[in-house]
Amino acid sequence: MVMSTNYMDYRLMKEVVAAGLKCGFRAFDTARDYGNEDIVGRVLSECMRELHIPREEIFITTKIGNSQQILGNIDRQIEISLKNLRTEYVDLWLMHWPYPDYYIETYHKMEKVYHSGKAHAIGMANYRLRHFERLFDAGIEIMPHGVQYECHPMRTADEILSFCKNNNIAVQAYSPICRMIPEIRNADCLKSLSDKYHKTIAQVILRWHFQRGTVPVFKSTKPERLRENIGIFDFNLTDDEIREVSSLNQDYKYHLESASCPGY
Amino acid sequence: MKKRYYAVLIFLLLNIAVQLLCMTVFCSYTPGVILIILEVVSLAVLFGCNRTVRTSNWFKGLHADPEHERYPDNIWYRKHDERNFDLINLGSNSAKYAFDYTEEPVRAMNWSSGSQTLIDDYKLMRNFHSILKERGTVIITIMPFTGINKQTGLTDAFKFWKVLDYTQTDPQYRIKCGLLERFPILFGMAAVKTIVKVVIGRDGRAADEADTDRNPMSEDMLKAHAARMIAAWKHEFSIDSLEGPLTDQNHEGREIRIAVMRSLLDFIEERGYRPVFVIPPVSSYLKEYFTDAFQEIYIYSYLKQIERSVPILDYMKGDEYDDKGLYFNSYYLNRRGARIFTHRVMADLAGMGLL
Repeated sequence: MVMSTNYMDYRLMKEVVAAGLKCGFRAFDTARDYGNEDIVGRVLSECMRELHIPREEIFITTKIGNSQQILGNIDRQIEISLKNLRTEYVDLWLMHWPYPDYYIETYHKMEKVYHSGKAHAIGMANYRLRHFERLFDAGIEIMPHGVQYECHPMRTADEILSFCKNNNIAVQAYSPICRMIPEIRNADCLKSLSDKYHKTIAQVILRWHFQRGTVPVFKSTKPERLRENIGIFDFNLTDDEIREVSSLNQDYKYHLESASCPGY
Repeated sequence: MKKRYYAVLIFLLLNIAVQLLCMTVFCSYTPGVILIILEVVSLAVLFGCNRTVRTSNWFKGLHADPEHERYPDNIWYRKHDERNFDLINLGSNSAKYAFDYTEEPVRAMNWSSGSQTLIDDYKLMRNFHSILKERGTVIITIMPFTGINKQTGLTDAFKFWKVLDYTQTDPQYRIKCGLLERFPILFGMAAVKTIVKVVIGRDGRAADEADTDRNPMSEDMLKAHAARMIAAWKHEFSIDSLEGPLTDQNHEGREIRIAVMRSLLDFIEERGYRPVFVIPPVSSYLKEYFTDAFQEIYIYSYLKQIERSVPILDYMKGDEYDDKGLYFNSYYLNRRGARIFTHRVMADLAGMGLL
């Protein structure tokens, strides 16, 4: 599971990240466009030192934003991110959006950076199949290692998941519980599974992700919620129950892509 | 925040320099102190005036979506859970008043904010299309002069400055729009007039003329209004005769509009949505100017030249919407007219399998 750090200030992030590390979380997600990459770097380096956790145990994902794609100096952008994050490498480096007219060229430049060892894996976020098709038609040297997109029971995005599985691409799912909007909170099948396994609805959904092979990227500012979220490895959903949760799918996207990526 | 610190620092350093200069020239601190007091008072007045303009209804009215309720932007979608809309419509003033989905069992949005070009429509699609469901319908409203180009300027760019991503704004206007947004006092006389209106309590919101079930204009007023509309269009597009061939300038404008429409249609279809052209009705007072010859030159030849297979719903023909009571002037539908018209369009779209 991955902890998101978007839009947190230093004080809050330090509290949350420290609590997360103590619970057992080791993966953290950030992005240049969250405006706090440097705070993530400061918090992580302090926490690793205070809790005696080596860098190799931590998994850091960061992303290149649209304005950096327009600038085009992708090799410089990774240096900025590494400096912000106070590390010599990132574990997963993603293109935040398939920014029109730029994303293919950006990916090719990311491939070059990958060879330098500064990013141990590269990939993209918020791609649809048509973006993959266009990119692959343009020719790629390195198959993306990981992708991130909005995924939860109300948006299962099965075609993207199949595509990733067929191409051995790891999947991270953001907004994994769809922000617990009323339609999720009040879903009968989730309530019934929650009662059956004596777990919260959020835990049921996170378990659904785990069994489907999607890695949830969630944000929480409450340490008790972090402990709850990691407590999903002591029960198992049946195949029918997985299908039942998936049946909530209505291609519901909480985050509207075009609002963040004009021309999406 | 850092920029403000620098601004304050520069202000302090300048004043220290002024004080030293005054001490040197006048052998006294008094002139410097007086100068500083005048400076502070002037700045306070200027910022106060700027804030007054910024919070005025006049300034809000310059924006296409001041309340963030017309377009599903980053503020709207965090307040609203509705997604997967069936339909949106684009278009200019005519579309703004023609479509009212209040009583229709569809999830739909009217993306016309008033005066809006086809280029604006395309930018709005690029910025907000994700609200549509798979195979959602896009109504492209065709007004009488959609097929020829008009020049836009700073005011048009500023209207959408807070709506669209900044990359969608014409580069030549970006800095000016940014400055005007922060310092609307730079609007000059218009800003001064607004300050006066605010002070005397006359900065109210403009009444919605369309919010009526009848036409407040008499027959003579309607004829005069229609004539004024035609005169304005003729002036705007340098047209002598509505039935004459396109001028060279309008031919060039036609090529631009063909290219923009093709780009818009490509964009829509690539994402799996379904476009439809809708030509809204006009009152009989205006329709008498829009002869068959005019419609062929300005509307139908344009749609043919686009060379794309897009369904067309034409409500300008026939007499179904001739009743002046459906409009609030000679051109735009009123609330009752819009609901009747929208209902009809929804039924026609459903009949075509587009809804």
